[in-house]
Amino acid sequence: MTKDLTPYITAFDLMEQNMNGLKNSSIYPLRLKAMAEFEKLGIPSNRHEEWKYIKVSRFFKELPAIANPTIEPSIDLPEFLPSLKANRIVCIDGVYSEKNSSFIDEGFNSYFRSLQHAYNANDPIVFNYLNKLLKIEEQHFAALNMAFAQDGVFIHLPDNFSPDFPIIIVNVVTGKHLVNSRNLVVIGESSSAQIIEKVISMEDSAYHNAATEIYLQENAKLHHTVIQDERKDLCLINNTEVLQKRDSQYNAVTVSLNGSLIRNNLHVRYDGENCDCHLNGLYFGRSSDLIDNHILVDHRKPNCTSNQLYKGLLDDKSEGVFNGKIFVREDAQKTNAFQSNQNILLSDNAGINTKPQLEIFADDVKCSHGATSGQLNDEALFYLQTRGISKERAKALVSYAFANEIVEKIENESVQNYVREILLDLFELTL
Amino acid sequence: MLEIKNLSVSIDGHSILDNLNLSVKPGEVHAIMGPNGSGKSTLASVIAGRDEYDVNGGKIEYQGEDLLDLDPHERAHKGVFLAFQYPVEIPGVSMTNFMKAAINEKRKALGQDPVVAKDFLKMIKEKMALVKMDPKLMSRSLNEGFSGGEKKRNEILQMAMLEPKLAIMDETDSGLDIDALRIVANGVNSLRTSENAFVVITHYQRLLDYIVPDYVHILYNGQIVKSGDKSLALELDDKGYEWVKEEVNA
Ligand SMILES: Nc1ncnc2c1ncn2[C@@H]1O[C@H](COP(=O)(O)OP(=O)(O)OP(=O)(O)O)[C@@H](O)[C@H]1O
Ligand SMILES: [Mg+2]
Repeated sequence: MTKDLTPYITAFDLMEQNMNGLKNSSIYPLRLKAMAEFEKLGIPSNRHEEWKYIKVSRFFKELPAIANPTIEPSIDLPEFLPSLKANRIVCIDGVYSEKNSSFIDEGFNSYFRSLQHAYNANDPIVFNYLNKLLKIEEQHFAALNMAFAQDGVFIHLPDNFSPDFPIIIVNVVTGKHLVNSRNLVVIGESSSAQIIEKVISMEDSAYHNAATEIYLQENAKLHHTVIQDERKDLCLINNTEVLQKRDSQYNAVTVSLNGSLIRNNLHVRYDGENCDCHLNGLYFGRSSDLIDNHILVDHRKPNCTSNQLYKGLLDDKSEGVFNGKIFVREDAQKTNAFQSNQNILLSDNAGINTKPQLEIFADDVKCSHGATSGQLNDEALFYLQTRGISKERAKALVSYAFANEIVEKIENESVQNYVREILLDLFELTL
Repeated sequence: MLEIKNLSVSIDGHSILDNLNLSVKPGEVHAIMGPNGSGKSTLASVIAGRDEYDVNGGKIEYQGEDLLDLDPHERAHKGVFLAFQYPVEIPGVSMTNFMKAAINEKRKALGQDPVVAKDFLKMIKEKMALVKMDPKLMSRSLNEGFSGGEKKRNEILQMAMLEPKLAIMDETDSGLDIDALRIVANGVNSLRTSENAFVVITHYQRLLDYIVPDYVHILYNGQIVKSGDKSLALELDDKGYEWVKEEVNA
C-alpha cells in the first residue's frame, strides 16, 4: 500500500449509506467487492510492470475528489458534431442525462437504457454481462470504477438489427473531480453499429476513468471511435474490454490529440473462429503530455485475424508509450496477427517507449510486428522547401499526412473531417 | 543572374567542390557534364540551399543578392528551382495539396492573395497537358509509387507551375524514353524566355539536341575544368572523359 486511500474509503461509505434502495440489487455486492479489491490494489505506482513508463502517481499525489452527482447540474453543453445525424447519449458526471440526450432512430429507447435503470430493476440481463470482462482483481482503475460508477450506458442491440444512424456517447465532466463512467455494449447476432465516444470537460482540469465492456455476438460488427481532443489538463483513463464471438468484427480508432495524461487499455479476446479486429490509434503529444496505449489481442480460437496500427507524433517534452500484446493460444491455429507502431519525434526532448509482446503457443501462425521511431525525413523536408514551403510548414504537412492515415480508418466521414479540422488547427495548416 | 565565385564545399570534412566558378546570364542555357561523383548534384543542392553541406569558401550571388544567406524556401520564392535527380516520395501528401501549398506560399511571399481554386485547376490542367502527364496522378500522394519517368515529368510540371527564373535540372533526362525526352525538352523550350535561365545537368549529348545549350561545362574533381559551346558535348560523346582527365592531370 503506497498511498493513503482514506478519502475514497470515506466517500464509498457515504455512498453506501445512500444506496439503501439498491441493497437488494445485484449491483450492491459487486460494488462492495470492487471497493475491497481497490483497497488492495490502490493507485498503481510505476514499479508496477504495466505502469512502468507512465507516472500516473504524479496525477494522484492528492486523490481527486470523486464526483458525487446528486442532482443534475444545468450546463451549457458544448456542441459536438452538431451536423451529424446520430443517436446522442449524454452522461453528466457519469450519470445519464435524459434531458441532453436525443435519439433519431425510432425505437432506440428499447435498445438503450441507463445502467442505473437496469440496476434499480435488478434486471438479470445486465448482470449476465456486467463486470464479466474487466478484472477488478488486477485492474486498479477497473476496480475503482466498479466501486464508484453509479450509472452509465447500456446498449443491447437485438439480433439482426442495425441502427440506421451512429451512436454518440458524450461524457461530460463538470468539475475538477474524478468521474467514473461506464459503458456496457452488447451487439446481437448479425447486427452492426457505430459508436463514437468523447469526453467533454467543463473545467480546465478533470479526471475521467471509463470502463467499457463490449460483447460482439456471432457475425456482429462494431465501429468504435474514441476521440480525446480537449486541450485541457485532463487525466483520461480508459479500460475497454471486448469479447468477440465467431465471425464478428471489431474496428476501433482511438484518437488522442490532447490531454495531459492518457492511458488507454484496449483488450480484445476471441471466443469463436473467424473473428477479425482492426485496432488503430493516433496520438499527438505536446508539452509534457503522457500518452500510453496498452493493447492486447488474445487469439484463443483458430482462423482469426487481428491488425494493430498505432501512429504517434511526439513534440516538446511529451512521452508516448505503446505496449502491444498478442497472445496466440495453443488452439489458435491459422492465426494472422499484425502489429505496427510508428512514431515521429518532433523534438529532441520527446520520447517513446514501444514494446511489442508476442506470446505464441500455436505453430501454424502468421505474426508480424514492427516499431519505428525517428525524426521527419530530411530529404522530404528539403524537397518541399525547394518548392517554396518553409521548413515549419513542410514539417506540418508531412506530420499531417502521417496522421491522416489513421484518420482515414475512421468509419464516419463527418468524424474524419472533425479530426482533420483539429489536426489542421494544431499544425496551423490550411489545405 | 547567377555568379558563383571560388565556391568550396565539403561534407563531413570531405571536400567535394573546390574553388568552383560559374556565371549564368538571363536567357542562357548552360549544360554541366562530368563523370559520376564529380560534384554536379552537390553543386545543384548547394544552390537550392541544402544545409547538410558545409560551404568553406566563396560565394553565390543571385540577382545581386547573397544566395547563401537565404533559406531554401526563400530562394524558391525568388525564382530558384531545382529539378531533383532523385525526386523524393512523400507518402500521404497529395499532389494537389502540395502544389497548392507551393503556389500559395510563393504568392504570399510576393504579397499576393491565395490562388482561386478555379484558376488553379485551369493552370494545372494546362501544365499537365504541356508535359503530357496523366491527370490521375494528381489525386495520388506526391511521387509515391510514381514510375521513374512519371517522377521526372512531375518535376517539369512543378517547374512549369512555379515559373522559376533560374531552373537547375539535375539529370532530368535519365530514365526517360525517347518520347518522354522530347516532351520534357519541349516543356523546357516553351518555358524559355529572355528573362530566365537554365542549368541542365546531363550525361547525354542526346538531350542537348533538343535543349540547345549556349555553354557546355565539364565538372571534374570539384571544379569546372573546361567550358565550350555545344560542340564540346559532341566531343565528349565521341571520346569520353579520359582526354579531359589527362589534360587536367598533366
Ligand atoms: N551526404 C553525403 N555524404 C557523403 N558523401 C557525399 C554526400 N553527398 C555527396 N557525397 C559525395 O560527393 C561526391 C559528389 O557527389 P554528387 O552527387 O555531387 O556527384 P554527381 O556529380 O552528381 O554524380 P552522378 O553523376 O553520379 O549523379 C561523391 O563522391 C559523393 O559520394
Ligand atoms: Mg548527380
